[in-house]
Formats: sequence, C-alpha cells, structure tokens
Amino acid sequence: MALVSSVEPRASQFERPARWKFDAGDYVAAMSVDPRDELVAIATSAGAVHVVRLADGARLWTRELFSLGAHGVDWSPDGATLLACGQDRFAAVLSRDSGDHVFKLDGGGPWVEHAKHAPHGRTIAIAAGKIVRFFHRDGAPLLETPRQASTITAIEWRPDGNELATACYGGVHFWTPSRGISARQFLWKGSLLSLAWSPDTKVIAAASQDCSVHFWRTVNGRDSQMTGYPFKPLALAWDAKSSMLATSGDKTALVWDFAGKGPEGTAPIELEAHRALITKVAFHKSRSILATVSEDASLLLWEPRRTQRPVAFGFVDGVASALAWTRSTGVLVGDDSGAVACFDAQ
Amino acid sequence: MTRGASADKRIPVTVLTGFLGAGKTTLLNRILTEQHGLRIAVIENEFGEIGIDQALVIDADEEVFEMNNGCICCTVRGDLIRILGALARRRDKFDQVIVETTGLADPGPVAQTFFVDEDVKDKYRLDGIVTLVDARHTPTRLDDSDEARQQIAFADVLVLNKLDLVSDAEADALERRVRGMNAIARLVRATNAKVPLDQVLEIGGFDLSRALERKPAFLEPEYPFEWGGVFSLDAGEHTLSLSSGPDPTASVLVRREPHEASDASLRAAAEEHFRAFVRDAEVLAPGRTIAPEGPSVALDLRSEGRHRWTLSVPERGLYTVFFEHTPEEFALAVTDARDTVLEPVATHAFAATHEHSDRVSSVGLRSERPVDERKLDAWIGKLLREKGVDLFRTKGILALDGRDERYVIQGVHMLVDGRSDRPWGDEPRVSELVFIGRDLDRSALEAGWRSCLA
Repeated sequence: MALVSSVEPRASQFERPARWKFDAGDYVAAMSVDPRDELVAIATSAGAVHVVRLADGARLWTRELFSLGAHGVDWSPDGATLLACGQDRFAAVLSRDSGDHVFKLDGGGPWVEHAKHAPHGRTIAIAAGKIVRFFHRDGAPLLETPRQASTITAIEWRPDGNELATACYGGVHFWTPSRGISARQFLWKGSLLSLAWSPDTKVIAAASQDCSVHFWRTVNGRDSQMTGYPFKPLALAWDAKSSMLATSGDKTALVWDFAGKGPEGTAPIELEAHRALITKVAFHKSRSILATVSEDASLLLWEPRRTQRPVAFGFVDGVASALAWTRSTGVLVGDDSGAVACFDAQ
Repeated sequence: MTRGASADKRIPVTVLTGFLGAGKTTLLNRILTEQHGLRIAVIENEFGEIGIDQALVIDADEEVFEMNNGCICCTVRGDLIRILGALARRRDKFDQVIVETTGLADPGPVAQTFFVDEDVKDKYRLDGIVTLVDARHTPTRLDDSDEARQQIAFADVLVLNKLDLVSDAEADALERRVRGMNAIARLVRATNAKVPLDQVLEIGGFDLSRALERKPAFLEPEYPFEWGGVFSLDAGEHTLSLSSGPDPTASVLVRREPHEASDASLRAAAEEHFRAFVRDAEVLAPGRTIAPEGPSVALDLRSEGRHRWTLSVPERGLYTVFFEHTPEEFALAVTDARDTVLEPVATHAFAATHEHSDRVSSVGLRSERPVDERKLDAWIGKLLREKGVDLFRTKGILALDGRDERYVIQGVHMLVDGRSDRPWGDEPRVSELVFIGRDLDRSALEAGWRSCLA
C-alpha cells in the first residue's frame, strides 16, 4: 500500500508495525489509558467495555454493559476505578481489576453520552440529553444543571478540576459544582460539537457544525473563529505547552499556533499526507508529537514545529475511530472493524 | 420489496409526519408488526407505546437549530445528526430508519438534515416523507395552520386516513384540496392507517413520470375551473341541473364557441375566457337564468337535492360550459326544452387553481428538448436563493444535453442535490421538473424553464 507518498527516503524505517492487536468486536467508540500506564479501556458501539493490558494486548476483563452502545470510558485519576457511559440511561463505576460494578449513576436521560472525572478526582460529571449531573466520587449526587436549550454535545473539565465546560447549541457554559450555578457563559449562535481546553486553561476551543473552529480566551471571553474547513473539525487537540491546537476537518491536519501573537491573522501549519478525512488527533502528554488517524486506515506521527512531513506511520484495519497515547510512547488506534492496534512512537 | 436505487447503498429513511391524532403511531405499529423481514430503527420524539422486539425505538429530543448563523433554510435537526451517527456505527446495521415527528413539526428541518450534514448524507438517503392526513379534522386545520399546509406540501406520500369517519363526498373534496396543493405525492386512502407497506417504505424508486402521467393536467396552465364541455344547443331555453355536492356553491361560466368543438378549441377558449371566471362571483339561486355572457356565477347548492337553472341560448350554435369542479361530483346535466339530456360534443379536464386559497400549490414543467446544464444551474441557483423560503420541494428527472444518464434532482427549500441516475436507454428523453411551494408564479417558472432548454 503506497499510502504515505511524502514520507521519504527509505520509508520502511519510518513505518511502525503494530506491537499488538486486540479484537474488540465492534466499532471502537472511545478509549482511555489508565493513569498507571498499565491498562487501556475500550468502549464499543455494541455496548461492551473491554480492559486490555498495555504490555501485550491481553484481555483483563470484558463487560457487556449497554444494550444500545457504549459512548465513553474514563479512568479515575488514581486508576482504581473505570467510569463508563452509554445509551441505557446510566453511567457505571467499575472496579479496575474485575469490571464488577462499584455503583451505577443515573443519567436522567436515555443517552448518557459523556462521563468524566474531574482531574482532582473528587467529582464525576455525566451528561445525558440537555442536563449534566454531578456526583461525588463515592456516587453521592451533588447537583444537576438546569435543562439547557439543546443537547449537550461535549463536556470538558478545566485542568484544575474546579470548573466544567459544556458545549451545546448557542455557546459554552461553565459550571462550578461547589457552587451549583452557571458561573459564566460564552454565547455564540451556532451548534458546537466538541471542546478542548488548553492545558494552561487560557483558551477553550470548540468545533462547530458550520465547519469551523471557534475559540475563546477564558480571561476576557474574547473569541475568534477559524473557518474554511471542508468538513466538521470534530477532533481538536492541544499540545502540552498550550502553544499548538491541532484540528481535523479535512485530510490535511491544521495546527494553529498560539505561541506568538496568533493564531488570528496567521496561517496554520498544514500537515498533509493522509489520503482521506482525518478522524482523530492527539498530542503526546508531554512531548510535541502529534498523532493523526484517518478514514484511510493509517496513523501518522508528526513533529509540527520541526517538519511538515510525517515522522512515522502505521496501518490499521479500518476507518480509524479512536486514538489515545499511553503515558510513555505508545499510540493506540481503534477502528470501525473493532480492532485496536498498539504502536510504538519511538 | 424492490430497492429504489440499486447502486445506492445508503440506509433509506422515511419521515412520518401528521398532526396529533392523524394515526402516525397506528401506522408505525403496523409497519413494525408486519412480516417484512426488515430491521427497522424508529426515532421518535417521545417514548410512545411502541415496544416491538424486532425494532429499535430511540427517543429523540426534537432539536432544531440553524446552520450558518440564522438562515431559516438551513435549520437542521441536531438530535438526528447525533442519533443517525451513532446508529451508523453499529455493526448490526439497519435496513430502514423511520423518523416520527411531533404533530406540529415543520418537516423542513428534518428533510434538510439529509441535505446539509455531510456525515448523514454519506450514510443515509431520505427515501420519502409520508404525511398522515386525518380526513375528519384536516380540512379545518388547513384553513388555520401553516404547519398543516407545510406537511401536505412536503409529502411524497399522502395517506388520507380515517376515511370511515367522513362521507365519500367529503373524502373527495379533501383529496381535491390536497391535490391542489401537492400534485405529485402518491395518494393513499386508508382507514385505521391500513396502508400496504410498499406504498410508504422504499418509495425512492417512485417515478416522477408516473405521477405526471396520472395527472397530465398538472403540467398544463392552471385555470379556475376543472372542466369544460362544448354543447351544441338550439336557440331557446335549456336547463342546467346539479345535485348538491361537497361544496355549498359551484361556479359556472358559459361562452359561445365560434369555431369548432375540439380539445384544442376548448383549451384556446379556456385561455381566452378564464379571467371572466371570478372568485367572488354572484351567488345565483336555483331557478334563475344563466346567460352566455358576463362573469361566472356561483350556483347556490346549500340545500340538499337536485337544482335547476335556466340556460338562455340566444342563437343556435356551440356553447362551452366551464365548471369549477368535475361534472361527476355534482351530476351536472344540460337538458333541452323537451328535457332530453344533451351529451357534450367535446370535453377537457383542466388543472384547477381553485385551492389557491391555501397558497400552496405545485407547478410542473416539461420539455422534450434537452436541458442545458449550465443554464439550469444558473436558473435554479438564483431561484432557490430568491424563493427558497417558499419552495418546499423541488423534484426533477432531466435529460441534460450531452448526457446519456437521467439526471435526478431533489430539493428542500434552498438545498438541492442532483445525481446521475440510470441511462435513458430506449425511453423517450423527456425532462420534467416540479416545484411545490407557496405563492408560486407559474408563468415566471415557465419562462425560466424555457430559458434553460438547449
């Protein structure tokens, strides 16, 4: 397969073979790597949640949890429990080692689409339909947001864990679970679909149904919009230094530079090598390496500050649907056939 | 069941609309319980009473939002985008998706979702919009509700339901009225939403040309009358008699025909005299006289039974009677002084505009000359930009100049999608284009259409 034409010379030295593959059985909807860097949790559209060892891809446990599909998985910051949500009105907190239920959280609506631990670990937020419910880590209900104008399409904790941002039609709202009110909001007349908070908390970016990326500077609410994407730039990723925002929305990945005066009025770094639409983008947790996966069934690794050519590549079986970095140098790619492949970026 | 578009692997979606109580849930239950072997996913706006094993029923939150900051023609259903996206991921794919809307919903945003969102467009095709029409209550709703008129206008299939609750005459009147608004929808009559499945699902292959064959008058200019008949009359007094029917009055216009009695002469006479057919015609009580001059008169049929008017003929010759409705509906008869029933020597059925009080109508355009693709693009583009809000549906099968395949276009408001279809083969290359909309200007559309012909 002559896929990556611009990787040269001696392409083979840039190819990363999969270290292991795991068959999850159905479309991989989401993945989460545990904070101890030992396990990956995989959610599938058939409703199963699998937990697999990062070392060799061996299955630790599988639970058929949601009859109509699983949407998300998220490890607790201490790695002791896994939070999973899906289309059956609930989110589940499961034991790390066995997958047994520790407790269930009632989502208050049929589709629990998002479930995330606050980074400090004390609070859990789950979103179903137009409401978000907050729980204490032991499962005790804390509060519920008022019904929003439209379905909540994304939730994202501020890196310090004290505030949750939610996206829906009409803007971004911020919630402080300790106070129980919407502290502030950034309004914008459009349908927002995903959120990404810069690690330094200064910028929050959102993908829009109108094929644009909208972002706000959180200090003063000043906003900008990056338009011209041929498709919805659903996947957004910040690098660890909050200096680069990578976006999907085309077969070319665009990386906006937030380090200088920009990105307003500047041209993005264009990373062009995929043959089909990019589906996910993710920066390494500490290094400036970007991974992109695509409908063309490939993984490309980039160092955008250094070169606009990919620095390594790998192949998966189908349309890539999920992407995650391990804490070290592993890259996990899930696809629509249900395969999860683990690559080594080194 | 035969697949509508063989090459199209996308999952067909049927949208079910209709006012509360029109029978949507009954139809849905019928579809789900019938042995058709299809795996169906139903997207509802609220949990209904449906609980069928073979189907997946999903609760949606009818959520309309605007794309591109405020253009009404780009409103879409956000919940549908998400739900259809999640469904498409599943390995156990569905053969059919049915979207049920709330009674008052405007079908526009649902339909537009299938034109606007790339991900939805990639995996699904809008197979058809099925509107259930409650025969008993719809006539009043059509008088006072934009939503009801829109639901009729958007439909690919109109199910006239609950016919057991109305008389045949009322059913006929309703059919005429909805036909006047939407001339190309397939019309199915039903009680208890009992409809053959192939009439509502997989209608993508539903051929526009067949609809047009059935109602050829729809392609002609519209007139305020539905029928014209030429009678050969002697000088003296004749009688025009009518039975009471679905309407309280029926308008009539009588004119001398100087030339001949033929289909062509009738059409020429219609063009010459239609302006005399006035909307607020004088109401003429039974027993009074109709003269072959002056504007049309509205014959008073408010009391039950058979009524007679005198038809005064100044001199022997051919006379054309233009009638607002079809003669069968009111048992129209012309008799001479000896009470002999006279047969017309020529008749013609006209496309009627008398439902224009609904403001929603259809205009069909047709040509045997090929269509110039660039001119068509320019014309349609301008038309949709300027009139998109009022255009509910656009459908066409076109013979483009220099192309061997049929070119099929489908549109909702400002959004139009065109794609090449099967080759024409031996079929006559006839282009047909239909608009259903509010306050359509037929002559402007005809002029635009003519400018696109190669």
